[in-house]
Amino acid sequence: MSTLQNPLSPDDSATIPQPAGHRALRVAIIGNPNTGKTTLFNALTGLRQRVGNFAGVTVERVEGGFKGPDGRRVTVLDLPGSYSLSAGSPDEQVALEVLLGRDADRWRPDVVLVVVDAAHLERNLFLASQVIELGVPVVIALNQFDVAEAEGLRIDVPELIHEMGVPIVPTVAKRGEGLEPLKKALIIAAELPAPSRQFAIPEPAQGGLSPLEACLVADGLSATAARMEALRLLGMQRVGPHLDRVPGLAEAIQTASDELRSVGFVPTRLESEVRYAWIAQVIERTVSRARPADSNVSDRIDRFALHRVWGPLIFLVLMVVVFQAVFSWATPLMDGIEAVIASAGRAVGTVLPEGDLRSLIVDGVFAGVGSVLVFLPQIAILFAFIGVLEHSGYMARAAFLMDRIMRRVGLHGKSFIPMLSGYACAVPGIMATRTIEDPKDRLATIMVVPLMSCSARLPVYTLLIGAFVPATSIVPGLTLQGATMLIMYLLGTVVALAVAAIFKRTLLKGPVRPMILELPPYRLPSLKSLGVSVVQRCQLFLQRAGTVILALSIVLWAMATYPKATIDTSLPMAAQQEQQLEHSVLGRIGHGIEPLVRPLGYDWKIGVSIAASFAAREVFVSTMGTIYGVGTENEQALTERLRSEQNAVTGQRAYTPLIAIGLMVFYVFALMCISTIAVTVREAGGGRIGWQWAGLQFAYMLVLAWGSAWLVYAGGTALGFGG
Amino acid sequence: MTSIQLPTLQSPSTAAARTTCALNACPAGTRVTVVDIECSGDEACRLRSLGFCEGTSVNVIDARDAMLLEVRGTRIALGSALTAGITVRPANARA
Amino acid sequence: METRVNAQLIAVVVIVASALFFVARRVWRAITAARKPKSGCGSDCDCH
Repeated sequence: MSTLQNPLSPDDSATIPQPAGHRALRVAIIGNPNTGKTTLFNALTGLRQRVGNFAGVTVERVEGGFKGPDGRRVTVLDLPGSYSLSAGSPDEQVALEVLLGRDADRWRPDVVLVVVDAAHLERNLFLASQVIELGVPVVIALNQFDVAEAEGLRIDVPELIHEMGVPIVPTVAKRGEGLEPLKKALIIAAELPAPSRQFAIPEPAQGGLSPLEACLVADGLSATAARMEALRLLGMQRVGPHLDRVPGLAEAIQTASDELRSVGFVPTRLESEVRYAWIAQVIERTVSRARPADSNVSDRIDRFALHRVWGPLIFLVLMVVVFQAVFSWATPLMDGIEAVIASAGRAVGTVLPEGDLRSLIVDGVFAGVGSVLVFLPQIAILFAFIGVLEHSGYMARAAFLMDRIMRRVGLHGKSFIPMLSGYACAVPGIMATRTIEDPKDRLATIMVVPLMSCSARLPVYTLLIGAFVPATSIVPGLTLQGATMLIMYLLGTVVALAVAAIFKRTLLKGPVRPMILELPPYRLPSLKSLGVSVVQRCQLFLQRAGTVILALSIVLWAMATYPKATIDTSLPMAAQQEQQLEHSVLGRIGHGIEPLVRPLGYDWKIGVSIAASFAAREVFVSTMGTIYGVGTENEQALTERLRSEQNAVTGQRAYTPLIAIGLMVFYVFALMCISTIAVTVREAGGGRIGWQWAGLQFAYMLVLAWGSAWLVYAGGTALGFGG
Repeated sequence: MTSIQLPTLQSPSTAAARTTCALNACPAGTRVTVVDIECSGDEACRLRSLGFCEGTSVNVIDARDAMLLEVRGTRIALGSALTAGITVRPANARA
Repeated sequence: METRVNAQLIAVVVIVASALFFVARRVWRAITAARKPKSGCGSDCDCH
């Protein structure tokens, strides 16, 4: 929690801002969710962004920059999307602290940019009206201006500027329109005096508030910020950590409330009443409709999307389409990448002299990293689909539809979006739980998000399904392979809900918060914005492959090659490899693990691959690639090797469809990702508590994985499916 | 400095005698005015910042377990636990 | 012949050692970053 260093030092955020000099101009961006704030932020700063955390809390901090038209450097801080500065959630608390210049980093903005949705002005101006009173220069970006015009709204911008008392720039962020005027406005605004409240509260109410305002001013807030806070505090349960140490605050609030009640006002409603009354006046004077609003497109789509019967059906069909696409559309691209990597490896192989170095490069690096790079197309497609669902506005509908089911397990619809993000990667999914206000609901969601099959599991599924599940068509458009993939994903989902239910009934018992969910209007996702985010994700994937997986592949290669065995050259090639492998570090570890995995039907080679995967799941494929690639002269595709491989102990086929399914089930449930553990620790509260929850998460998932894999193997064998 | 006019719905007791009902009793397609919000402070605060406050006019788009409402031009879904505690006055009722 | 083999061996050792160092450092960073929430993002946010 952030603490106030010196509560009595005057807050100078209302004084004249620094003259244009060598220091970069600091801009903070805030706005309602769904206003295109992120698109605007991206448009202003490009892809050069630094992502971190606000000190002391688990709120994400995104900072970027650009060069202003006058050559001056501008840093932009993206504050979390908020409906108001009510400090009801950690996100909003941090935003308020930063804007007041009281956050733990002491980062004070020179200008605040409020992003407002031109098509939904009335609601959006609530936040703007609060920000205007903070004593920092403000610029409003009237975003999605094109949508407003398309709907027939006519906004008199000069009049609006006059009413609000701040510069306002219409923008269309997704097309990059209005950016230059906006940049200029930001620089100019920094030199202007700070704005203040544009309306007067009725006298009797103001009288009741004055003592409370004085109390806040005594603590160091500027006069105008004190007025904003006083109004806010009346309606709040929570004061906010930045005001924790103010002496006599609770009493002052109580006194003010009593005084207001005595003159006929309801204290908790005062803020919304006065602000919306003012906003209504402003809107009346500045916004007109060129034509009457007809039942818009969103409503008509929602009639189906949210229909009792059609809704869930549409949702299911969409999910099936996504998974089938991820599995089959990517195939030609994947084959292409595989071919390129194979020939590159060969080419390098011919250049290097025979020996360990060549083996390291060809069998370690190329085989290892290559087997992971191949999955880039699948990951790109997956992220693209999820991006479309999010940007089009459908995600909120999905959350709404899922709310019913979620409630049965004690979660609510808001948990659905983090879980869906978990399909791409658990890390952003867990971070997305910040939108869930109730800490117990939030923890329960965090604990089960990793069960959603993330993109790192894709290589494992694809390898095993490709090798052991025939591509027969079940219905037009869906093959057995696609169906198996879908089943694996569904398995994770269903079990996640079950586990969440258990958590909510035991460790995290508590009532479920009622749902409050905004359904944004549907819109066509901007291809450019979508492309940017997919490219960013792919870059991160490649980075990961280029660093972690590369390093791990090298280490694993070393572990498989050393110590060197004295090979009996009279044996056939495959047996020679076998000898070397068993003698190496990797082989010895594998044999050590074997008793643990034998009940699951695996031999030590699979055991080793599983062990290595705990660092990163994709490594399963590259480890297998390395194990079967070590010392190989000819190139057999990994899948063929898998099919023909023999179990050293039983003499039978090492990999049967049953074992493959069991292995996949293991991967559905096991938590094998250091990044996920790290994020869980942080989001579950950090420190000892965070580690305890992460430890519990890892443990229960491992038990689930082992148990289910055993069930599949033992049960399947008993039923006669083995072999 | 503009002066503003506050809506006349200041104290809950004045509305008691008029025709009011719980929000979740209103069928789809009706237009209502919010009279009183009875829920925990946190939720009331969230509702207000979304534009949903006493005196606001609300359109009921869909009414089932969770209600789909239109408030100040925005579409919001509210869970049944909440809508049961919100008192509203249907638009066509005489005040 | 001797020198070439030695050069190769050195190359292999260097590469493997740096890979080991890299992995160890990443794990360490993840542990310390998770120990308490602090500013800045370690290498643990690489999925998003």
